[in-house]
Amino acid sequence: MKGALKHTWKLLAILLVGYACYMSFFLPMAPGIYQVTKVAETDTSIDLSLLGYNTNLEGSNPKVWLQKDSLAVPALEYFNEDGGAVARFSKRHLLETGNYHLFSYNDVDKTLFLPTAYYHSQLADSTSKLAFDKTSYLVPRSGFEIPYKTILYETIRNLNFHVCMWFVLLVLMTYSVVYSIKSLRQRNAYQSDLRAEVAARIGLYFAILGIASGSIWAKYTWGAWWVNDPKLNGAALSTLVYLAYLVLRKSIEDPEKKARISAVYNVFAYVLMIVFIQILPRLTDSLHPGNGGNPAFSQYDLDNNLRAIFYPATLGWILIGVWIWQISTRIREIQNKYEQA
Amino acid sequence: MNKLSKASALVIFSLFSKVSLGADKTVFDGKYGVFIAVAMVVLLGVFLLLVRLDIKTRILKKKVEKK
Repeated sequence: MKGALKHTWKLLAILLVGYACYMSFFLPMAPGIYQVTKVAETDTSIDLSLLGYNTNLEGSNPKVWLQKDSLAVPALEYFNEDGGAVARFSKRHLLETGNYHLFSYNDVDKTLFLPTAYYHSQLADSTSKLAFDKTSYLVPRSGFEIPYKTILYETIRNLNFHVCMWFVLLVLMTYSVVYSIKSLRQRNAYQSDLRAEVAARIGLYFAILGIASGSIWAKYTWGAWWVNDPKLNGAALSTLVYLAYLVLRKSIEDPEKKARISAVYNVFAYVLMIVFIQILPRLTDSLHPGNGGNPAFSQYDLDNNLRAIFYPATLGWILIGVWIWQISTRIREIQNKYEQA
Repeated sequence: MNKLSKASALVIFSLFSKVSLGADKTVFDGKYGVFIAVAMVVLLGVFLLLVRLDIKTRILKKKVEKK
């Protein structure tokens, strides 16, 4: 019973990662409007075509309106087209020039929103304000689904894989530096040194997975495999710093000297990694959320539904990383004992 | 590869094939494909790491048995 309890966290790791995988792959995405185009214009009206993803624009009780600050302008006519819908607005009701957000409501989709959907450049000769109470049409969606975010779309699911790799890296590198410090305090520190080395190796492997997965994501979201972003450059530098740690270890023959020198290097490597990944990107503008003054994992970035998948996923992947580190350490210890025998 | 590794491979590939077949065939195909590619990098990466450990233990076992 005691033995079984000892392994409970491993079962938890499998369950959490399994849950995160299942949810990431199979949970449907919330509907959203991804494109609004002006398709027709007369002296008195404009027609805007709406294209949606997972939407039911033909749903009952539809209402579409443009909004700029406190000015809300409802569509006078609304009709469905193949794969989308068209909303007709009177130019007389558009009292201001500039960018308008578009809101769409129907009983199935509830309220959908596309920021800066339409730019109005010229006011009509005569304008009049139209009374419109939008409050009854501002209904948030209920139910458990992946949130819809423009630019990211379905790739928002990557969060449960790509970001978790960096959390595993942080935990394993912390293990590594803790064992390195331990080895500096001990006389025969082979075991602590070995644990520090294995943690750095496994952490580095997860960093490579993080870079590879992030590069694919960047190509489709930002248009290039690698962009000049402080977070990306910091991740690459941290990887190189830890690769240098492994090279340093290989270059020293004497085990005691190797343990001491590499432990000291590891402490500096850890500090550099924290600076490169956690501090510097927050001080400058970055495409990553949570940097350049942007909040990360706050109400602005992370939907509560996504949190319910992302947090278990992170914990699960961390536990998997620690489990792999334990197995690797055990293998290396057996190898060492075998070679010494 | 032992039975566990084979079973893991089977689960991963069936998951990908099922998702690929069930993916929405709209303009977002590419975006879903990106997600599958990212998930594949991570899952196959971890899978390969486990296979490497599996091979290491086998080599070690053989060495010990020889001795």
